[in-house]
Amino acid sequence: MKRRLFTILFGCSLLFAHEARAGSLTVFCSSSGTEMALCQSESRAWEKETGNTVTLIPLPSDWITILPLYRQVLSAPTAAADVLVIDGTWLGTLAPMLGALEAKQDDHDLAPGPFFNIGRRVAVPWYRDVGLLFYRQDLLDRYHLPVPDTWDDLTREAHLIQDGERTHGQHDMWGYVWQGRTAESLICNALEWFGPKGGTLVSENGTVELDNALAHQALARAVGWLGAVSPPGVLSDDEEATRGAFQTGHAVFMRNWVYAWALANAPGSPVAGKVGVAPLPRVQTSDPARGVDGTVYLGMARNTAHQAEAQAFIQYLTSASIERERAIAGAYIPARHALLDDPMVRAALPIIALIRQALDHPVIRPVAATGVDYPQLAWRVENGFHDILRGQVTITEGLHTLSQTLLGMAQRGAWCQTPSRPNLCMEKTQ
Amino acid sequence: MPQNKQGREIFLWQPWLLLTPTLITLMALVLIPLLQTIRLAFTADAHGLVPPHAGLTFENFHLLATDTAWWHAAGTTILFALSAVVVETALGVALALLLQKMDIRLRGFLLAIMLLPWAVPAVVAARLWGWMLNPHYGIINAALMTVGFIHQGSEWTTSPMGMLAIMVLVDIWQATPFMTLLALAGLQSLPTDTLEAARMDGATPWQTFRAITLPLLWHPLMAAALFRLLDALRMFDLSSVLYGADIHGMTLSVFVQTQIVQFGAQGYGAASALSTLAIIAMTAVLFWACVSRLAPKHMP
Repeated sequence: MKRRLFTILFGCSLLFAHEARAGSLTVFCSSSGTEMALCQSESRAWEKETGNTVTLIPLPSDWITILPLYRQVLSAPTAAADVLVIDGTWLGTLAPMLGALEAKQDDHDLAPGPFFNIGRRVAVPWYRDVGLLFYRQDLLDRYHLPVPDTWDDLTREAHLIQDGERTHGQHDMWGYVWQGRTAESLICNALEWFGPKGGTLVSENGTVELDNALAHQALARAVGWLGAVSPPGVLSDDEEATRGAFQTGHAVFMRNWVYAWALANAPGSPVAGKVGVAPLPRVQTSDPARGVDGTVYLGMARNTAHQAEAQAFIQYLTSASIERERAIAGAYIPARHALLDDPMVRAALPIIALIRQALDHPVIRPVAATGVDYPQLAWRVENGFHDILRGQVTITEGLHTLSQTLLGMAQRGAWCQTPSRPNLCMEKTQ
Repeated sequence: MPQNKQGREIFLWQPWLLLTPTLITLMALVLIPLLQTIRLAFTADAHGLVPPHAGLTFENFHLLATDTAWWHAAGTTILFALSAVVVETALGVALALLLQKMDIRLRGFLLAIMLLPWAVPAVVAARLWGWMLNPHYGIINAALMTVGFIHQGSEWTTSPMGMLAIMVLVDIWQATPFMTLLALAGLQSLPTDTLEAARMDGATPWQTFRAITLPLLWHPLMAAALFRLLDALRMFDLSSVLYGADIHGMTLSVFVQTQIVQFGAQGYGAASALSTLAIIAMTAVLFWACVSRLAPKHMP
C-alpha cells in the first residue's frame, strides 16, 4: 500500500511541479541500496565535472508499478523527469514518448545495441542480465555427473540426484526449480526451453511463430517436470521463491538471473561455496548456449527541457569508465563488449567467464516487433502458457489458441508482417 | 412569489444557487470522467490494440465480446459475488439469531471480536491470507502437515476453482460480521408481541423463524445483501493481491485496471469499464427481482 501511496503522491507532486532550473536534471534511479549509492556517487562526479545539478528520484521497489508511473510522467506537457531507467520489456511501449539520442562512434561496442524507434535512437543499454542455470556442484560431484548440456540431460540428472537424495532422507529435495508464476518470467523460461528453432513468439519481422513442433516439445517437457522433478507449487513461484528453495538446499538445479549468484554464495547462505553457474541447457548440443536477455536501458523524456544535459548524462553513465566502476563496485555486468574482456572487470566479476556464452547469445523478447502491444501480448502469452502447464488445455489446443490470439493482435496492431512495407514495425509505435 | 416561514421572498434561482457548488463538484468528479470514459470507449485506442478511427467505432466492444479473458473475468466476478453474498447472508442471520439469545454484555463482547475481520483493510487481509496459504512457508500447510492431514505443502491456488474458492472463503471471513450486525439490528426491531403470541400459541422455534422472523426480516436483510452484492461485484483488492495477472483469478475491476494502467489501452479499458458497469447493474437487478419473488409469505 505504501508503495502505491508513494506512486500516487509522487504523480500528484509531478503535476504541480515547477519547471526545473536550467542545467538541472531530474533522474530516476532504482531505490535498491547499491544502485542508489552508485547513482549518487556518479551524479556527484558528473555535477563536479559539468557544473550541472542532478536530482535523483528513487523508483518504487515494485518494478511492476514503474511502467504506469513512466506513462504518466512522459504524458505530461513538460517532462517532470529527464532521464529514465528502462526495463527492456518497456521499450516498445515507451519508445514514442522517448527523445532521440544522438548516435555515438562507439555504438558498435554496445551489447545488445541501442533501441531504435522509427529510425530514432531512443534508449541505450546500461547494464546486462541474462537467464542462467544454477546448480549444486557438491551434488553433481557426489553423483559423478557433469553440468547438464541439454534439457534432456537436466531432466535425467535432476531425477537421479533427487531420487538419490530422497533415499538418503532428504525428502523435500527437488530436481529443478524455475519460475512458473503467471508473470513475465514464465515467458523468459519458455523462450529458453524453445531453443533457437522454436522461435521467440513473434519474429523480428513481425510474423507470429509460436504454434510449432519445437515449442510443443518444449512445453511437453516442462509439463513432464511438474510433480516429477519440479514441485507442483513451482507454478506460483517467482524468482525469489525459487531462490528460496534453492538457497535453503531444497533443489539441485535452478533457473534464475545473475543476482542470485552473489546471494547464493553470501556468507550466511546454507549453500555458500557449493553452487555453480552455467549457461542454461540447450535443446540440442549443436545449438548455441543462450538465455533470455534482461538488459536495463537508459532513455530520455521526449519533452524534456534539458535535452543536451540529459544526453550528456546518459553518455556519461554508459561510458566505458563508469560501466567499469559499476561492475567493480556493484557487480553490474557492463553492456559493452570490450568491458567483458577487461582484466579489472574480469577480476571483480569472475562469473562473466562462466556465463560468457550466454551473454554472447541473448534471446531477445519480441519488444521491437510488437511495439506498444508487448505488455498486452506478454500478459496473454504468460496466461496461455500457464494454462497449458496446469493442464487446463492440451498443449496443441493451447498453442493454437494463443497463436490465433497473437495473429489477431498482429493484424490489428500491424506488426510489420507486410513485406511491401518493411518499415511498418517502426511506424506502428507512432 | 413563494415566501419562507419568516415571510421573506425566495427567488426561484436561490435553491439552484445554493446547490451550484455541490453540482459543480459532482460534475467535475463524476460526470466529466464518465463522459470521458464513454468518449474513449467509442473512439480510437491510442495504444494499437484497435487501429485509430476518425469517428465513432464499436471496435473496442466487438473485441471485448470475443475476448476470452474478459468473459473469464465476468464469470469469476459474478460467481464470486453471488456465492460469497449468499453464504454471508445465511451465516449472518444464523449468527445474529445466536447472538440475540445471549446476555447483552456477552453479546457486545462477542460482536466486538467478530467485527475485527471487517475492520482489517481488504488489501491487508488479502496479503495475510496469501502468506498463510503459501505452499512453502504458509501456516495453513504447516499446521496440516504437523497434524498429518497432508504430507507435502499443498498448492491451494493452482486450479481456477481453487482460486475462486479461496477468494470466496476470504470474503466470507471478512464480510460475514457485517451481515451479522445488520441482521441483528433487523432482529431487534421485530415486534416482540407477535413473537410472544406465536410462542403462546405453541409454535416451535423453527415455525416461528419460518413464519414470522424471516418474512419480517426479509426486506431489510435483502437490502443489506444487495449492498454487499454491489460491493462484491466491484471487488479489486483480493483478486489483485492474491493472483496478480492470472486471468483465472481476475475480477472485472482488475481486468479494467490492468488494461488501463498496465497496458495503457485507454479505449479498450474504457469499453471494459462501461461493460463492467452494465454487468454489475444487470446482476443487481436480476438479484433484486429474484429475492422479491422468493420473499417468504407471512403465514397465518
